[in-house]
Amino acid sequence: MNKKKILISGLIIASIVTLLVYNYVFNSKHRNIAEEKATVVLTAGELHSDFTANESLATTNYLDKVIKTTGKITAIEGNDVVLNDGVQVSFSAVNAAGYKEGTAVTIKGRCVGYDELLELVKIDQATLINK
Amino acid sequence: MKKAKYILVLMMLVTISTLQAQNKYIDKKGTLTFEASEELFEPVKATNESVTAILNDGTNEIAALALMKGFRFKNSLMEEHFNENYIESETYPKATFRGKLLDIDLTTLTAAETEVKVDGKIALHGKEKQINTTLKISKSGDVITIKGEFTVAPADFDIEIPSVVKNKIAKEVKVILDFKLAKK
Repeated sequence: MNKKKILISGLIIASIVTLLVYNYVFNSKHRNIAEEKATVVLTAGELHSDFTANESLATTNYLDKVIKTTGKITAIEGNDVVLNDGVQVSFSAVNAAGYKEGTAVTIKGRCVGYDELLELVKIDQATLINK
Repeated sequence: MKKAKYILVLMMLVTISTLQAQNKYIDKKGTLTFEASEELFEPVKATNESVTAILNDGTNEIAALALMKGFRFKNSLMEEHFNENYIESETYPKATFRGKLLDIDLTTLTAAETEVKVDGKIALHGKEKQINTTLKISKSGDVITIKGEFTVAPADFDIEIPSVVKNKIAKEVKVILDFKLAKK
């Protein structure tokens, strides 16, 4: 009787653990870039020139990294802004902060790579740090 | 005298080239979705909302570029596998298309959708593939809209699908594009 109880409770615990592990592995959440700490800090100009100087090296160094960068807004398009004509930043939200063309901003986001057609470094899931 | 002739020819050339002024149309935030779902299994689908597309209305040349890391999946594990195991985005960070729109005068486009044949090359995962497809094109104001879909096969780009997941991923991948190119 007692043995049976232990066996049943053991089975229940094992199945719960299996479910939790399964859930953790297969339904894990996406990264939350806004909450991650920036591992790379540099200006928009430096970021762009690193990619134009040696694209594969810059890709190794910056791809998928959380980057904090500062630059002057040279264009605004929807919830995207371009910094120093060289870095396209895609915000998670539409211009809630009310940034304007010509002003300097600091942003944090994930580096997606280099677009050689427009010669732009692309950053997505960005948040504005300050105006 | 000879010099004056050269200058005259040069001036004529300059005039001709300005007469045939070509306009560039650019989209920085184009949408590209691909789907390789199989019935009964979890959808294999991702969207990239920051695809670049450039169209030249003088030469009909079109180019597009999508960064692989920009493709977002609903399932984060699937996104990780796509980047690390299949597309190897650290080594091959982008997909490009270079081609030409055939038999169409882009200056005569209207708001009504017209079908246009396109011929070009897709470069992805270190491989190139010729592609011919039909797209829908229209123009309103200074914005040209291009929409369409076509299929590609992972095998064309040397992308190996492990046998464990072979029946969960379609052999033919459907690619859907939506570009809104503004005159620059």
